[in-house]
Amino acid sequence: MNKNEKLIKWAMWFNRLSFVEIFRETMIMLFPVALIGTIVWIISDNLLAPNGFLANVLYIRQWFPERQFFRALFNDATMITVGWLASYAAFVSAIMTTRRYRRENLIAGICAMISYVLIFYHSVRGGQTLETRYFGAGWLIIGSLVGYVIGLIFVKWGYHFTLSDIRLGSRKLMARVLRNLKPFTISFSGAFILHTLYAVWRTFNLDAITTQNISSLIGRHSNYFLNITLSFFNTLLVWLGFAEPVNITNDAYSNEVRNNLIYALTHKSFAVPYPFTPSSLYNGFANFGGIGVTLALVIGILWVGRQNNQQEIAKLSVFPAIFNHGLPILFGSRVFLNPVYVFPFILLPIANMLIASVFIFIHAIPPIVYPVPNGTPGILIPFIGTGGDWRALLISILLVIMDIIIYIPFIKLAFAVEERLVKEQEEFQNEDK
Amino acid sequence: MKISKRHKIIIISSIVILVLLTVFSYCWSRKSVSILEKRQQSQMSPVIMIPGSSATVNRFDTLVAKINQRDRQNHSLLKVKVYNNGKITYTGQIRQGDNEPFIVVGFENNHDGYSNIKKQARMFNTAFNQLKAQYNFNNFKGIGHSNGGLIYTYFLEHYFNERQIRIKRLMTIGTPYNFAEPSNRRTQMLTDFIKNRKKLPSNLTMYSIAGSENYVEDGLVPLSSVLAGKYIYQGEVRHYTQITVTGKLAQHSALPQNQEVLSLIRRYILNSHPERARPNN
Repeated sequence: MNKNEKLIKWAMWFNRLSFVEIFRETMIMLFPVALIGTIVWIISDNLLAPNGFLANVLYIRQWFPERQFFRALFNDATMITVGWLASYAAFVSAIMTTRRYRRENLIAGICAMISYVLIFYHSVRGGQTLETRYFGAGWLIIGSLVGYVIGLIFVKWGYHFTLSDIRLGSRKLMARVLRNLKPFTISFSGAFILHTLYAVWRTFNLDAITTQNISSLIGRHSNYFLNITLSFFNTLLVWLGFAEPVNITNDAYSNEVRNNLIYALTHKSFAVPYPFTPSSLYNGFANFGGIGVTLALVIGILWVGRQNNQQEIAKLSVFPAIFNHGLPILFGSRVFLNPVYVFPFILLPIANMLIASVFIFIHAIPPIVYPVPNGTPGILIPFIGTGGDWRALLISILLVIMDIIIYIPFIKLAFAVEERLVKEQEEFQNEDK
Repeated sequence: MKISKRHKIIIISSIVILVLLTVFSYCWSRKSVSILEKRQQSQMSPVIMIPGSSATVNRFDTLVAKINQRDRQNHSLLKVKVYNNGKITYTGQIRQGDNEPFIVVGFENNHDGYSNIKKQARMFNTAFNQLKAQYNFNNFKGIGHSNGGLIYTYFLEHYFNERQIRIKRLMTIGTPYNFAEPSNRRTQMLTDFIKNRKKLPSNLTMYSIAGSENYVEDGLVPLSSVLAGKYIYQGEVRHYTQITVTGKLAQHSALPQNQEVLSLIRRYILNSHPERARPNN
């Protein structure tokens, strides 16, 4: 119990850091966006896309006319929710920052959103297309950080401007706005400088070089160690708030995957040349319910019960988690930057892969060789990928149960920390009065 | 640990969802594997041809007839026409047991120009998807005459992304990779082709045939424009070979009837050629 107490103390200290606190509040505010965004995402990518799981299993192509048209519509809805999440995070985080320092300022939020979009908004030369890579959930933490910094600028030089101030009448309101012009200009100029720096960076094509290096690293023949490292960094980055994991697609290892498939089909045997090829091992065993085995987290929270809020959030997150989208529960349970969850979140995927490869190595289950449609529920990927092997299904069910059991003590710990924080805040507010 | 009512609900609903999903995916999985296996065992290896601008699906009739005369394989000829509204019509048919049929894909919109090439590549992709579902081949060979070679290049760079189907060999005949421009002025199309060359299949064997009536052109296309194909293919695909034919019938539109071109097709493209009939080829 003593050790537990220490852990709780440490987690509380971490959670009280001002940026972490603001980031948590931002996640709470953005939960609806994450939830709705993920659901339309599943509709467009899983139900309506030709290679989606639901589309294939329900044979959508054969009875649903104008599938492409509807897919485009849902895709737009995904873009505007999940695809722009980082800029909304800037908005919320700036307002929360000013509020924390008792200078609540709506203009700071607007300024932060504009600045964030400006930094990465670059019309691609010679075309009307716009690069929106940096606005998505993947850059959530950067969005919040920009919002935080701009919030601080407004705290220092701005003048508070809340919704209730609107009653003051337009003349006084205008005076307030004028007093906020200075921090607005400072923030905007800062963003403009970053915008310029990024433009220079792009002209020299440095961003492309980085991605090329990474993909050439992946493009080589797989080795087992690389596999584990990739998983480690992927989960770590997501935990740090880069909310969209790098996809380890089959393309990266297309040669190995193709050789495996052709071998299995011609020899009718699973003694394929690359049984541990990373894309299949990682996608098959490390990702039940999205990155960091979030399905286990969702079920774990439902199992532990107790907090009503968390129950509600977990229930809402079940559907996305079945189809490998962890975003809602990551937001709802504030997994990002939550010190309690860091261990299971990073280590469980690796443990899953290690255990699964032992089973593959001793030929208890065949390796994953057959193509699997996009967005297949994680728990079924080994099953479909082995052409319907029941042992593979059994192993993945056992792995999920193991993951749930490991997650449960951490969930309890997270709840305990949460309760303490709430109590502390209440006391703080009482003192205030 | 005490099993409460909530825990029971969780367990039961998990099992229900799991069973439901498993049943659906089991059916899909069996079907998918059997399609994959059928394709893998398929012996068919068609030659898919695309005619140039202003030509119809009948463009290669003479060529196929002459090849049949020579190698006595009696290849079937299937003609596929794609209309602008997406409709696809078939004429001719593939004889039962013919493992190396010729398939010609033509378009209602057979005009020249980069924007039309893009549209035709897209239409070719629809036709290709129908053909692969219907005939289940796991490899094929391509021939493109004139702009047909441009359509093939665009198709390979933007649409062709198959795990199980391989394009073994591609031959373009008199294909103007830089349209009619001199070599020091690159067209937008050539620039785009070069930009996307990484997406070309790396195990492709590619032949580019140029015709020449004098030292500079085949009567329509500058030699340098055909030779510009090297900037796209050379070093990116497994083999890239450039061949220039001259003499009788080396005029641009006559190239598909040219004796030398016919023997090149037999030698380099067809599986049934004696030099190629050995296994592993």
